[in-house]
Amino acid sequence: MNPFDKMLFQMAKQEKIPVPEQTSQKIEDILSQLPQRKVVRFSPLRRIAATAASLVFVFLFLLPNVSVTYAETLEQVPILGELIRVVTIRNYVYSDDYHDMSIDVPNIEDATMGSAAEEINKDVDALTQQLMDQFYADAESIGEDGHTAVYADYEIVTNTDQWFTLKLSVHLASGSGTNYYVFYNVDRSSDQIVTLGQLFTDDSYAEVLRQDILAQMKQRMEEDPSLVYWTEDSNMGQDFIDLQPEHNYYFDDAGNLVIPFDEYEVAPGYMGCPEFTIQRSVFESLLNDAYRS
Amino acid sequence: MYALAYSILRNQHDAEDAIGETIVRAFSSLSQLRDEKTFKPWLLKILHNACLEIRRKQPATVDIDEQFDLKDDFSYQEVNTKLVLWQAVSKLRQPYRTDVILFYYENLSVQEIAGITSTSVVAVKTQLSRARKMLKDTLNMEDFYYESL
Repeated sequence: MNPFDKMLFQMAKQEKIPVPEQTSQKIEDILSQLPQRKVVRFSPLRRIAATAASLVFVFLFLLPNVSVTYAETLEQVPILGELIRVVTIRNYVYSDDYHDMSIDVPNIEDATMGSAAEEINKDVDALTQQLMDQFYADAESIGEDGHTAVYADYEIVTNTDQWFTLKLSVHLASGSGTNYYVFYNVDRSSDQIVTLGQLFTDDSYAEVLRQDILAQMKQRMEEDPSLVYWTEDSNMGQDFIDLQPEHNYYFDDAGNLVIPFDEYEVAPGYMGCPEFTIQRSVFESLLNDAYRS
Repeated sequence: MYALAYSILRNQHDAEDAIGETIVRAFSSLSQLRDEKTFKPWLLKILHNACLEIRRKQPATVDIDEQFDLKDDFSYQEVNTKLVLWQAVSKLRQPYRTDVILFYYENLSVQEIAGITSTSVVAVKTQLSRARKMLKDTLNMEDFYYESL
């Protein structure tokens, strides 16, 4: 743990956030009512009905969707060039008046890919399980008091002799929605998943890319006043471009580097998930030898 | 609980409602808690959901973050000048406020935070990293000395 992190933990431990007296009293009042069961919100009949409804969804929606037999009927087999084949092996769906889920789970099948494919498939499975667990927990917690939705699918964004890039898109909706992406970039020659930081010889790439993105943001805003990027934060006096070594990226077909950002990361939500293409000439000299042209 | 609710809702009465709702929900579904060790993240998840529901019911034209003014903050008025970190955290945008409170004040893991906020571990790590940077700038900017800590 670095010193600053340690300091934050210590400060948080020492700082006691004051709870207003009125709030404390209100909480105590609620707690004092619990033994009398005055706060139980659902009648037994409604609870049984909810349980029955859950079982219906498990048998009619969930189980058919996790069975291989059923999944095979849904199987899509897009042939992606002659290089890598990705097969959708599962499609998890659930839908009722309040909650909606649709998750397409990809599985990489390719004889020329070994550990990288295994690693991605394992990671995707874990993410899928996390999304499903969260969805069902939320649906159970919220009940009929609100709406939730989870949508996830995938896309092959790059499939060249050198690079294979799988993009997972996750959309979480609870009132307002949130989108985020996960990119897996595989160097086909080494059969390794490569992070942004691993592309370059040292950390100087981050500032070079940041400056290029910042210039693109300003140019876009000049050309179209309706566009807004956070080139300067009013509170902190700095832009929001923070390119950590694990930041999402991919190479386009021309070998240029594309840096995508999640929703709200560098712009207001209505701007969606912006992407910026960095010309190869900007970063070529910073690349590790293995990734140079 | 109050720190998390207040950080999301920025309003004492809404925070009270969210906590009250959370207690009711937790009590009525306590039998669903399979492992006592997960009680804290389980409870905070319920609270987080309750807060988001209250926010959704509020008029869409009002941006809670934008209308917030630290001078109106109860903690500011109740004068605890030692609440250095809390004041810095209050200036963060969402989702950074929630991440920082859950991580530093509630001592939850990034996995638990991802579960509570319905996002990925990678996203939480990224957000925390960015939040640390902003906090460092804020604390330095306001000339707070923390080397002795």
